Amino acid sequence: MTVLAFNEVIKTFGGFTAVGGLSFSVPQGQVFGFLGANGAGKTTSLRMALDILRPTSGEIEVMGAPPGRAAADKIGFLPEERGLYRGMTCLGVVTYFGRLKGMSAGDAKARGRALLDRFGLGDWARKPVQKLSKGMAQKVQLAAALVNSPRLLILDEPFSGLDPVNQRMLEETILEMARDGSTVVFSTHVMQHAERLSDRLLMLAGGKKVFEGSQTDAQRLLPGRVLLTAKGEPKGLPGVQGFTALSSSDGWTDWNVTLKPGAEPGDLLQACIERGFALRNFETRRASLHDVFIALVGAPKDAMAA
Amino acid sequence: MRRILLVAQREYLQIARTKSFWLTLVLMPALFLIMPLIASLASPKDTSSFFIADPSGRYAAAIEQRLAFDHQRQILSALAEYATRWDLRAKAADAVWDDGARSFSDEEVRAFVAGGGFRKALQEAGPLGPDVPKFIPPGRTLFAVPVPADVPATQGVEAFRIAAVDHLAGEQGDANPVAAAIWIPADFGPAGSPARIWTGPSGADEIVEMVRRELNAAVRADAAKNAGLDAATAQRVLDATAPVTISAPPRGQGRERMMLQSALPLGIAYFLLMSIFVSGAWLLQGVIEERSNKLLEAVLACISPTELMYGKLMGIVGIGMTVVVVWASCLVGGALLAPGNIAQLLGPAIASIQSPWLALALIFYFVTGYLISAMIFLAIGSISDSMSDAQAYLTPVMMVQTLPFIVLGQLINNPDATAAKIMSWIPIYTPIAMLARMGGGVETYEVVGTSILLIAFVALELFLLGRVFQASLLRSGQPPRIGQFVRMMFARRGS
Repeated sequence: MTVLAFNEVIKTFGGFTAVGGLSFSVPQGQVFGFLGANGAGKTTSLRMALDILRPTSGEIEVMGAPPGRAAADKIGFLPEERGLYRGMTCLGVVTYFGRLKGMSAGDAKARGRALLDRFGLGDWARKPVQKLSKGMAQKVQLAAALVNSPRLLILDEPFSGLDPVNQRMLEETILEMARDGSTVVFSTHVMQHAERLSDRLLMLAGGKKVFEGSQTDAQRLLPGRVLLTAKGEPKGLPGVQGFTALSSSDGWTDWNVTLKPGAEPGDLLQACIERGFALRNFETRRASLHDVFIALVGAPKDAMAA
Repeated sequence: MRRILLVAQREYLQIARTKSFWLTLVLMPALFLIMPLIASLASPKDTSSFFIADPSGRYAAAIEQRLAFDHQRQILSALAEYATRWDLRAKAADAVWDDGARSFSDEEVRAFVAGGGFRKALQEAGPLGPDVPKFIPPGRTLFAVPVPADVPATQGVEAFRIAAVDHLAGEQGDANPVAAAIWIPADFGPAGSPARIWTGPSGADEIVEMVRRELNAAVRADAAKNAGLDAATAQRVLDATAPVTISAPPRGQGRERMMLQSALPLGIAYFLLMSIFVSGAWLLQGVIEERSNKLLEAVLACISPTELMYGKLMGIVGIGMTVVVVWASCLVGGALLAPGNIAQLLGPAIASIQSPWLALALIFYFVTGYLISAMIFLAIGSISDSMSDAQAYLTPVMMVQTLPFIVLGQLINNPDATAAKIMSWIPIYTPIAMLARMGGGVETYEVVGTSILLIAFVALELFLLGRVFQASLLRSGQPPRIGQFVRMMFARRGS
């Protein structure tokens, strides 16, 4: 079942096109990474999915229906810019968001308390938000997003501003949600998080999709590489596009071999064995998401932050 | 609707939990309580005294008699006012005190005193009703005191002046200082020496006026006698007054009735202004908190901007009504527990609202006036990132909004003036203008017409506010200029 689908969605602000003809779909239970540099259109796309913004053209479906507050009861959302009602208690804020999402006061309170306990804030439940540290407040914000046990969890740059401990906690929460059958859509420009979490990826640049697929698919976009240590030169071996010597010692040379597009390292190894090509070491090197992102999008400063 | 009520409840509770809310709730009734005290402390002293040296031996006694006589005049005026207020009637046809408060001639005062004064008048009026308070005659305010021992009254005017001036200066700081020293020489008269009056630093206008009036009367009496008139004729000449008949509306009618009927609408208008100022600030803070704390995106994922706006409006209207109900209850409760001037005004003022339609109109104008202002505050809050941003918009808006309060006096006194009528048809001024004019009576078509216009304006304002709310909530950067603000009103939803 498709939980979120964009079909040729365009969003313009005045003369500026923030999202240009975006199409993708997210099946249920997937962790879907939305990658792009700042200003790529990630937040605008997520806001359209939440009906905070309306598309200029195109169609969006959220759980089989156009975006609207009717689906809000099944959606959890953690915005990039986060805040809390400073005068309310932690439990009060979480309960309030639960009730806005259609829960009864009792259920929202019970679930809120359970989440705060889980995030180590049980003793702070009755204390006002303004007394919390930033890290604690971030956990309360996450609890408010999760209070309704959402079928679709949308996280906009969820890791920004989090310390490593809270980043780990959030990653575990995302994976747990996915294991429980929820769909998670998150945006980020930090590739490591996407690599660790995403089942599928969508890369945006200038409001347009430049890639959609699995991590393996993304890595296949760039030529594979092999590091091998051999007696001779890898010239003429099948699948080899190019090679450079890295170092030599006792007649053995370390080679950095670039494979032709579509060539598999396994085929190269097989050819080496069949031809009696003397090998002492054979290491495959996959392209990282970072490499793919740079190759597809370029190297904007913020994308290099990872 | 459930979400709107949730937002309204949160807004209400958030404000109701603040110290400023409770302070405001308590402060106004406290001011009602202490205002009479402040007024009494700020009012001039009740009594004033002087001493008089009269080597001629002719005038001091007459002046003292005049003091007693003028006191009787004050009692007669107070009794006439009391009789009008409580509808008392004299049995005697020639009684002067049951014909309304006015300026009484010496002849009338003499007749009043000769007839037994206020005690006799009250006896004639018969038993007072159960709601009629007892008549308390005003106390005497001017007193002549003996010449102090340190002031020589028989050593000539210069010795008197030096000692009297010192004495008057030395009296300052006393609770009831002597206000004037008077010297009437032995040869006082048009051809002789003048009377001298020295006043203390606090002034003694009333004393000077009274002495001058009495000495004038004495000089004129002498002149009449010198002209050959006998004493009785001279007195008649001096007492003669021009016959003027003044026609005024019957008791309880005319201006008096208008003022009475204006009291409640005016009170509501003032409550409206105060509650707008007070709750408007809370409303602004609430919206700005959501913007500056970056809460809005999370909230808007659960609830539409329009629902959020309605919820906030409902919450703030609830707060405003709470404030007004508490203030009004304190006022009425206080008036009932401590009868006084307010209680005497409040009962008849409420009684004067005889028609349920009039009561409905008062409530309607209050609620719509409150809504119009609350929506303006909400719009300002939705485009401001901080209270200082909001202040830039708020100052001119409040100046425009408070215009009717500046001309409130003219609206009450001249409810049918063209300016008052025009103001009644300008929606942002309609509630205050109509509330102010209602005491004087307005035409039915004006009430109906302005009400329809007001409802249409509130609906339009709600629609435009929804557009502004939608367009501005997630906006960042500098607050919009007027042109951008107008474009927001007409922008497509979600753009």
